[in-house]
Amino acid sequence: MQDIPAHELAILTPLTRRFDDRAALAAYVARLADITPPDEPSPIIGGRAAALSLIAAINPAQYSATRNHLDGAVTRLSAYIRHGVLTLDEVRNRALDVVAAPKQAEKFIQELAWRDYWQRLYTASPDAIWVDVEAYKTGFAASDYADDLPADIARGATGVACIDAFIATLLETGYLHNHARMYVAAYIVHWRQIKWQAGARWFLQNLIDGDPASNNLSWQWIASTFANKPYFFNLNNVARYVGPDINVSAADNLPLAHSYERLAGLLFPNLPSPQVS
Amino acid sequence: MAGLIWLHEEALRADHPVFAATSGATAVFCWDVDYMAAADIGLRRQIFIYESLLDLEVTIIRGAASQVLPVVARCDQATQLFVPDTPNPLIKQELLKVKSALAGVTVELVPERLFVQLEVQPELGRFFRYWKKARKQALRRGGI
Ligand SMILES: Cc1cc2nc3c(=O)[nH]c(=O)nc-3n(C[C@H](O)[C@H](O)[C@H](O)COP(=O)(O)OP(=O)(O)OC[C@H]3O[C@@H](n4cnc5c(N)ncnc54)[C@H](O)[C@@H]3O)c2cc1C
Repeated sequence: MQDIPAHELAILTPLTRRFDDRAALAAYVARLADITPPDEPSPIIGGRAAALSLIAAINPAQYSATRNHLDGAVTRLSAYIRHGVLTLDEVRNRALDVVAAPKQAEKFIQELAWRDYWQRLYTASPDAIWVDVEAYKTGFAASDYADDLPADIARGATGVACIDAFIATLLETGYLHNHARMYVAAYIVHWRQIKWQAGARWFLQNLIDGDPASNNLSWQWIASTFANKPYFFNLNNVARYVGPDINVSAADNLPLAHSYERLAGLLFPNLPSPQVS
Repeated sequence: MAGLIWLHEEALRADHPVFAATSGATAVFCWDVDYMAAADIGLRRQIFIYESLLDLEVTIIRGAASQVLPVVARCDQATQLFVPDTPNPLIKQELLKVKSALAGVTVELVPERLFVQLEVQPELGRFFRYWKKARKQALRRGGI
């Protein structure tokens, strides 16, 4: 290590690995990025120990019965899997270990397989990850959708109470339940007519599990550029799956408070008959 | 032959195959805020990544991989560079720059452990076509 120029020595000075607590680590990382640190550390803790304690709690039977509910027995493993702290293989193996027969873990393993599927598509066409796979099937062309995410959405101030609550959770914790991701994405693309790419980029920036493949291709599924029909929902559906902490009154969620038939007409007026999932 | 590992944010665990590909290699994580901005990695995710790195025997160095790794490789007299394989085009682009700055160093991409081991790549047109082919292995330990 002789004769190393000063600028190279600077390169060889490692960043610190010692912190008094998580808040100090968060402040340090924020300083490196020149960003204001978050008020509260995220409930999702990095590292293998936290991942293993979540793996120990996997309950495939409860998962298949409750996974669509916002308070259901989902695992919250996504950030660990996305960053390789855990492999899909070991998570699947753990699920098989705690059931009497593989069939009982099938629903859970199928969800893991979604990630594998998206990753295979990404690997096959890495440079296409921001490109529409197919045309929109909404009766609109891609050029009918806006390029940028409006500020009210980024702030969680859309005036649609349940959507604003989901956005607040995303911004505060870096995590959102799958169903809430679907609602927010569909609201952005179909109610606000914004390109899926704008919403997807914003999700990636805010999700701790943000993954170009799982995220972008899921947005495309919602948008219908990678599905046969657009995904949309109504307030009754939200009310079925959320807990009492989410405001689902019609008065505070007017754009969502319609029947599916009426919404199909409002959102997709150019489609001949309801073509929706 | 001295080895160097470029660990990136898709392989944050001690038993990733990249660590088994070489023994006694220095592992470096390049803390590159410009890359993280380009890859849409926000602050909360950066904190998660840093927290996860503290579990691993890895040196965290500030800067782009193409600036950091050539200097480390020279100091360590590394002749081989191991990188966890990834589809991420931004990492692949940076790797091209690393390669051109590391003449004489061989580069090996080390794949992640598979979820399902399939003899032929299944058709990826829609999920359920893939699932039809992958289901049997997916429901077995090791995906075999
Ligand atoms: C619009 C939208 C954006 C999304 N963005 C991401 C993203 O950036 N990163 C990400 O990992 N997932 C993403 N998903 C998929 C899914 O919502 C999350 O993986 C899941 O909610 C994470 O929570 P969990 O770990 O509790 O999941 P669980 O339901 O407990 O599932 C276990 C694991 O299986 C995988 N998984 C489950 N469902 C899916 C799915 N539909 N697609 C891919 N993998 C799945 C994840 O790795 C997850 O950790 C997105 C979904 C939608 C609709």
